[in-house]
Amino acid sequence: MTRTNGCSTLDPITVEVIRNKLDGIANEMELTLVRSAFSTIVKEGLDASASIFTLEGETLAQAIAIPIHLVTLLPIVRHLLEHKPVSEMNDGDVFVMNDPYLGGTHLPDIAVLMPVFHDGEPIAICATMTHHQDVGGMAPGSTPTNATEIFQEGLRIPLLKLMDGGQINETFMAILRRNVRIPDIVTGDLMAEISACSIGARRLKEVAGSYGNTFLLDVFDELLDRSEKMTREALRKIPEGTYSYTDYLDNDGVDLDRKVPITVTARITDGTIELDFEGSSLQVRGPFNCVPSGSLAAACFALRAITDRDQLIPNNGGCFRPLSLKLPPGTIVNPEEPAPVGCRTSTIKRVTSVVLGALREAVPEQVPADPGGEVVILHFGGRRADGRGFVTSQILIGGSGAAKTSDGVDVIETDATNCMNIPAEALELEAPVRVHRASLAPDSGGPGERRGGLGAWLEYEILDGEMTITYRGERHFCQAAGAEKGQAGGNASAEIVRGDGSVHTIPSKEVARMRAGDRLIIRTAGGGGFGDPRKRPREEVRGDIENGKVTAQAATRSYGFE
Amino acid sequence: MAGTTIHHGVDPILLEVIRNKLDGIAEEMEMTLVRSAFSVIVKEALDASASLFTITGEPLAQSCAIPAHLSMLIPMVGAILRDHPVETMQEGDAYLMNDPYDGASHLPDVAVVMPVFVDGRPIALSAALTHHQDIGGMAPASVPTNATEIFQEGLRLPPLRLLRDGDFNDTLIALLKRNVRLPEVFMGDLNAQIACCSTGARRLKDLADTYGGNLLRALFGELLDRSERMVRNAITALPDGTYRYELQMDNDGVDLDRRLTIKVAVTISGDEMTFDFTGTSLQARGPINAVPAGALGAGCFAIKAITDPSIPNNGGCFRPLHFELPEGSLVNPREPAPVSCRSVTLKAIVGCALGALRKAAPDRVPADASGQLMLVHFGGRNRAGKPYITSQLLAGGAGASHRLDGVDVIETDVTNCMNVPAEALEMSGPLRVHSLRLRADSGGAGTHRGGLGCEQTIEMLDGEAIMTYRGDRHFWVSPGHAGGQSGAAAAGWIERADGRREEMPSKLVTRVTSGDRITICTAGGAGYGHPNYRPAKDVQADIDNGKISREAATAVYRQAWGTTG
Repeated sequence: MTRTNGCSTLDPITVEVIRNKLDGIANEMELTLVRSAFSTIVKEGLDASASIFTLEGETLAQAIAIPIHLVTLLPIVRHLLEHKPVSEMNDGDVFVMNDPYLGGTHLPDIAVLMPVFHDGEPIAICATMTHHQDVGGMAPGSTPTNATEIFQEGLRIPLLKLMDGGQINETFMAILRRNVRIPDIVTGDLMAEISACSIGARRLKEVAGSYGNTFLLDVFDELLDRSEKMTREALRKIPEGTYSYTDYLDNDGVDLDRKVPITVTARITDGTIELDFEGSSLQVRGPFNCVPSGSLAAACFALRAITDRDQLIPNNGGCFRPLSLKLPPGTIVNPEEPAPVGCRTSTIKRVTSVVLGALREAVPEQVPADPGGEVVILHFGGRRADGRGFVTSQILIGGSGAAKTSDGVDVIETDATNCMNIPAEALELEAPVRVHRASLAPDSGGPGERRGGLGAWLEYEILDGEMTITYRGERHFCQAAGAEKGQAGGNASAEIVRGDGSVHTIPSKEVARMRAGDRLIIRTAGGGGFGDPRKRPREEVRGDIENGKVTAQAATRSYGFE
Repeated sequence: MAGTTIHHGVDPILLEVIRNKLDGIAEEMEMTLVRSAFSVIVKEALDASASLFTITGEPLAQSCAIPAHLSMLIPMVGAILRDHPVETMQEGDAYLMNDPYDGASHLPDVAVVMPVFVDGRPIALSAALTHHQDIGGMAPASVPTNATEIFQEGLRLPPLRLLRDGDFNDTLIALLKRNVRLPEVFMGDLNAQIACCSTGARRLKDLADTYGGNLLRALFGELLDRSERMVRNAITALPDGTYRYELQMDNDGVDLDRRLTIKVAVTISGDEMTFDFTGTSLQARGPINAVPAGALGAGCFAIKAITDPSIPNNGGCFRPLHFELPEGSLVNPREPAPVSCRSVTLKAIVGCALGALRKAAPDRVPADASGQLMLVHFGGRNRAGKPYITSQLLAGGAGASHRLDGVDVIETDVTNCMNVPAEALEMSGPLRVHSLRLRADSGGAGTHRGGLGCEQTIEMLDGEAIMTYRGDRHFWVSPGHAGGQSGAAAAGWIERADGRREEMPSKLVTRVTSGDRITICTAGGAGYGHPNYRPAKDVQADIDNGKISREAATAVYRQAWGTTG
């Protein structure tokens, strides 16, 4: 096929129509993925994503889902294209992989990739990624916070053909099913990934049928170039310079007394941005190491957040061309095999807030104070009294940071992870657990002229038998900092109250056994405040007291409210 | 060979030639398997076995290797034949599996099975079972003593095709290499298994060239039938009745304070024998559960041990045996109970079966052996950053019999591994062996003294490693027989580099760092007959050889040796 690289010759209206069509296809893929899935974490937590890539491995369109998944698919697509050139692919091929040391993220995230052919020519690649409820390993849910090697974290899948000419790879399925705790659910979710890719492929073929392959590929190029140009322009509006920021993870889940620093230096020059993680902690023994795909995703998210506030730039790989990363090998942001990586989401959250923290210095009015910045993952796995096994999860979040013009939002996902919590009804259906409380945690929002968003306060009771719980918290020991004299958000906490009344405090991360009658009480972190709390309008402080968001004592102490 | 009638029409000389030839092939397979292997646990400890099977899945000939493996292969071969019927097999195929809930016994033991074709027809199966150094999971070497689910123990492989037309199943190999800690060692050992099976296949074809495939197959059937008849005759010669025995085990590695019981009732009735394990402890939370292959292996070993050793060793021997294995018990756990340390249980099952049969054939079964095969694994990285996993296996003492003292530091039953020499251990990881000696006074006192256990001290020289210690007989020792005393319990401790001393509670997964010293003491065998009747010269010789101390001699052998010597 011959391709003109004549941006100017393309009709802008057609380009816009195709762009919206691509976004629509990605969103239809996402809906298929979520609606066909079997697991709670996908059905309710929406921890699954869909996107379309060019044959060169650049993102073309992404469903509005989990931002970190979308860019994290990039290294996987690149790995595919390096090891299996498009020229060797056939219609009906589908590929699968999850190995973090080959471009993946962590083992539960299994990517499914499908090349799309029209008129015998490849035109794009459809990709989905689902966080699977279990992929084996040392703890149900496959994100043990105490792993010290990737081999403990579950089944590693190198790049494999999942389907060949439409035929499923029987060997792969047999091994997969034997090595996960809930094979029917994992298989169901994997089939949902294939369906989502198939829907994407079918729709793309229809588009190619209307416009022809050559024209379509030219439009793809044009879309990417346009986003690149617009992002560079936006970057040029940010003051050039070097900006640094550091924040900490509580610990690595194994060495519980050691805080883990993450440092970034952002250099903005002439429409480009370089993020250098020199100074970040060396890789850690526990599973909070983050392979490069994670930092890339965090960086791309931050870049999009500061360059496209009005959401005018088409969200595709062109946006990321002005970005470069320096990830020193052997550090927490670029660990060496076989370091464990299962809980790397916590690190991505921190990388995101550190990058935004550095950029706050450049564009203070655009970046709010630090957010609660934790996504607590709670896995329950065990057997009911009648012998039926279960593995289910809860996802909990904290408050967002206050911005110059507004208070932080209570209990909301703020950045690269964008999951939903599991409703009490769904959780109680999946596991013998009762939800006794899900409320806002008073006084957890960081005081400030603009108050940080509040964290949540939850209480669960185990009803039957015994189970293993994995609790992956953050911000227990390192609160979200305030900005411009605003104060830090409240820290997170978690404790197990045993049936006999004894209390065990969870040190940020833990794999524990719980029995019928035990209760788990969790408070998530609040966001940082913005500006001096003494300057907060008194009627707003009064309103917070009336709404139960701030107690009278705290109002006096922090806001000088009489 | 005693007391057999030759079956109609078969030339007995030819039959004997073929039988010896088959045994020879199995031995050659074993040599190939061990000599081609990469891992310490196979090269040095010889934890690998070779076998020939009929196409219906009965053992035809077995190498002299790990007895437990040989009968454990039976359900593994059965599972492969179930999923890949022999009619669907082709020349150039090979199959593998390791899933305990599908016939295997624990995940490190991977079976490779290759069909042997003559003139386009399958005539036999060539099989190799290797304990792989690592198959992934929560601890290096894949026998974590603290696992609570099989999913923590490594990669589970259902019966899968490994080779077709001699080419690897790429998906399988790619997954294997990503999920074991030492892919080169794993592939080296897997290739050794393939080489072993190929050697068996080649020799069988040579044999078929000489005698013809049809005659060979007929002779295979006759060999099995003959062994069956001979074993039935041997069982008939034993007194009918029900014989009971029970043994305790320290703990399951997870619930450390709970002792576990293996209980068996062996019923001999005519020419059949039933092993009934009713009364055995419920399945444990920790990884000492033994899937049915374990009890099967133990029963098969026991019948071989008490019958004429010249009976051809094949599947016919096992036809008269029956097993009652209560579901949900230690000897027949439900999925997904962990099973990786099932060797501990296996030793107890065999000890128990032999203990019961001692009552039926007292002159053929010695007092209880130490009943442990201590296993310690180290996994870490050396100074150059290269990962290593290595293991040590140490046996205890044998039980004394009515005629003889027990042998010191020897494997006595279904596990038949070698210890790893100091030189090999030191080459395979940053370890130094400071001592390896007999443990004075560990042999159970008796007219005939039990064999001694041993004591080894190993120092960690560099970096850090995850160490798995799988011991048993720390808290419970097997009793002496006919007035004899029990052997000494096992013990183990770590002297940390900073001087702290930590006792190892029978089973442990821990981190060891440079300068830590690990000392392991294996249990002794039980004595036979009252110590008072031990000849004074034997007591003196034991003192002279350092096998017993003067104090012990004074205390225990007072009558025989006097108080002064």
